[in-house]
Amino acid sequence: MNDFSDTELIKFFRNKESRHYGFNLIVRKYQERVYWHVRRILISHEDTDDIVQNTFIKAWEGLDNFREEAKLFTWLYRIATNEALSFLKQKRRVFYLPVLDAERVLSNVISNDEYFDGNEIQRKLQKAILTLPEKQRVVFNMKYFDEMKYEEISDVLKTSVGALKASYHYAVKKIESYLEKD
Amino acid sequence: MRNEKKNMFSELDRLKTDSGFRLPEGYFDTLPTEISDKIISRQSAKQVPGNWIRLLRPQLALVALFAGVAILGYFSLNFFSGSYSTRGITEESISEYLSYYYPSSGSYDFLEHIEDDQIFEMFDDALDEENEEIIDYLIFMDVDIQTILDEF
Repeated sequence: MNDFSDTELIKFFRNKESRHYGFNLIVRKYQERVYWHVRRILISHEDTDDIVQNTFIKAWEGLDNFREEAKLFTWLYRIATNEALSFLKQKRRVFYLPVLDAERVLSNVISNDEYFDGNEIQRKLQKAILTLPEKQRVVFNMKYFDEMKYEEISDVLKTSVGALKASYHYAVKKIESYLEKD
Repeated sequence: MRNEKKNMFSELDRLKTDSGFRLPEGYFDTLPTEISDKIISRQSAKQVPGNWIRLLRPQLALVALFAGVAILGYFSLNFFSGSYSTRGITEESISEYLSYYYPSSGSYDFLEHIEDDQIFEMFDDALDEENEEIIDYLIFMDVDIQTILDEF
């Protein structure tokens, strides 16, 4: 990972001579965080790979208009979240799947994916998370796995901190009761 | 029961760092290059129509010039040959047309939509030199168009 600040990286990007170099550094700095965020939503590695690439391509196209009021990382997270959720919506539409069946399909991916080799408790946790509604799942992942502050999640999802707290609380309760069932 | 729950959640805390997902070896080493390649290929794809336009620019300019000349020629020919002129239409046929399609409209309704200058042009041909003095007098005395028309 490079030690450049976001401001320096954006400066590199906005200079025609170092545009590609600057963008490459941005990708290297944030690719892992963006990848894992998307992977937890989409579960499958192949789908995640597509969406992560699209996310950074969109970032390339929009970075000239990026105002540094928000953090670069928050902005990338927002693009990635939108891309991942619209991908799920599109997939559901193409296969005419109701929400519950779509989550079941993702759950099957956990059981059969060559890039998932978690133990029983890891599998169970992922399946429990998949029982949550999409947005609640995103909130849970950001809070639980990424350990983001509510204020940061609020910047990404454009939702109030109060609503996020409630959402996370309900998500934890649901996951607890799912895990305690068996 | 309480101990079991405690164990489960301490196990869950461990899962924060390892959730069981795996990825192909060296994935993050190659991802930036893959993204860069896609961006470059998109950029060159976008430039293709631009290149064609740049190559064809002289020919396109020539075609535009000919089209402009042709359009100008067409309209000026029509203008000078008078193919749009209404001179061939007699007053009788105009009044027949108006009385057939607009039976309730009088000449005043019709004239309402015509500029004063045009009205004078319309009647110019019908006026001989003797009448011109009368018309000048009526205009001087501020007699309106309807009164003049009534006189005819």
